[in-house]
Amino acid sequence: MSIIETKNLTKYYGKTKGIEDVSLSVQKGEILGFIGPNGAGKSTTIRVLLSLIYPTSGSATIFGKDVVQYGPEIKREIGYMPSEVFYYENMRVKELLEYAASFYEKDCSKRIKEISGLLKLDLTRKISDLSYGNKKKVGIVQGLLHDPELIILDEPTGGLDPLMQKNFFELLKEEKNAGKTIFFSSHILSEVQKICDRVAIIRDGELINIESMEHLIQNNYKRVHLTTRQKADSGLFKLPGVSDLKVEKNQISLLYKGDVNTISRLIAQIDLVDFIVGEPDLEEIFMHYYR
Amino acid sequence: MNVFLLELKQNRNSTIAWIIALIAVAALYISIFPSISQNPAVTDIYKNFPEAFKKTFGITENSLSVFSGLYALVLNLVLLTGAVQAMNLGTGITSKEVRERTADFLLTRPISRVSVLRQKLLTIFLLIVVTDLVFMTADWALIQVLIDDPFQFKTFITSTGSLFLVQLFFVSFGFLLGSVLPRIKSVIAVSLPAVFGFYIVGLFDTLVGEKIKYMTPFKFFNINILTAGGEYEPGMLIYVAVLSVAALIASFVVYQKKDIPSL
Repeated sequence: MSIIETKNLTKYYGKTKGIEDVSLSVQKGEILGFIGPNGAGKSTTIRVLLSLIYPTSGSATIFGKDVVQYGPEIKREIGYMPSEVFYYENMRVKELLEYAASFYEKDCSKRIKEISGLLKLDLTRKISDLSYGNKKKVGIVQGLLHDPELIILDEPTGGLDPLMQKNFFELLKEEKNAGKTIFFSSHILSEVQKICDRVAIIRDGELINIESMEHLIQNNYKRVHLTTRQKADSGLFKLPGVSDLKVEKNQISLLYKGDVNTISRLIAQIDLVDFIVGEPDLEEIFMHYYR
Repeated sequence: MNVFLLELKQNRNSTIAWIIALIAVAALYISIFPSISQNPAVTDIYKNFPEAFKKTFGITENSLSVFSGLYALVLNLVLLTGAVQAMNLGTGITSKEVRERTADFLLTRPISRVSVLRQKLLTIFLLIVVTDLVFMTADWALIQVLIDDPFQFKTFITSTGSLFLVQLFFVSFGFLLGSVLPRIKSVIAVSLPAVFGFYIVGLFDTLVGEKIKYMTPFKFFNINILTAGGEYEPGMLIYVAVLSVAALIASFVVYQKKDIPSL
């Protein structure tokens, strides 16, 4: 059964396009990465799913129920973590979490203890005194405390240190193993790669592609910078998968998509002073491969 | 009832402050009445004040010699103070989640927007009723202690009761603005101009004539008549009720359909 299903979902803010014709489905038990550059429509899609905003046309269902019509009912089983977290500032963490828990017809105190323990979140502190990272932790706990079937995360990891990020991903994997479904939006490809089963790519409000993680990894995007001893030969790298090739004096820079062995053999033929092979940012991938 | 309880808690301190302010306004004027009413020199000075000044502060011929006259003056200021409180409360409570960026937190819970608004409405009505009951008790006590020849209890209740009716209008009007306007950054920046705007409109009563009573809450009821033992006009009571209910219904309709702006 599809947990989330959108059909031609479109949202315009007046004349400004938010998203257009977004059709996707998320299956039970899967982690779907929803990636795209800033302003691509990730948050718009999520806000429609949560009926914070209403679609201009098209429809979305969660657990088979229309999000506009059955919003409150659906939300019993949704945990949401916004990208930026703001809470009632004069509250203590414990009070806020208890307030959040009061909306669900179950006892959440055990989960609150468990998750805050895992994240090392001090429940007695005032929200206004918390650092950004700690507020994010409050965001994680308030989103998961009612043990929801569907977890929606909007760029969740910003502000978390690497160790906490690891703990957080462990937590998500546990949820997945417990049969929960996760919708994970991000603009960082590597983050999504670590954890997602499939990836939906959105750009300028339109869904470009949905790929399985294996396929995306196979594609293996690399940004390559070479500094050669002699004047660089521009002909060497004219092969499929290479784009944005720039050759200048003894500098070569390119984007590569494909088998890494092919490119490493080519590089090995050159007398190098220095080389950098890194991960291109998402913007670059979009610019050169998803036009 | 969780939203109701939270709002009650979060608005408790400001409500206490407003109650104190209302009592202070009344106490100040009531306490000086015994000394000025028996001092012809003071009344003469006030008589010579410019017309515009007297008008702005609601000073009439017998403001300073008869208690019912002075009480009309007191009530004028009490209404103004109470209006600001009510407008702040109404505007504040409906615009709060967007202003404080807690809309995402609250509205992604399994609760309908109607229920959120209903609980907020309940909160502000309770707070206004409590404010008025406490204020009126203190006000009556002050009058009993300080004034030798106070007016009847019925006259007191009728005239001071206009505070609740005026607040009813402002709380509903604020509730509407808070729901309709997409993003209110500062509540006071909306509520003060609205309240003082209406107050200023009320100053043009001689110019506008009888119809002024439909144009500003400060002229819905003729305070001078009420403090002198008069009654409400039934038509005006209906008018206030219709306006308030219409504003509240519109709030619910708009709030349910509006897009919540993102953080």
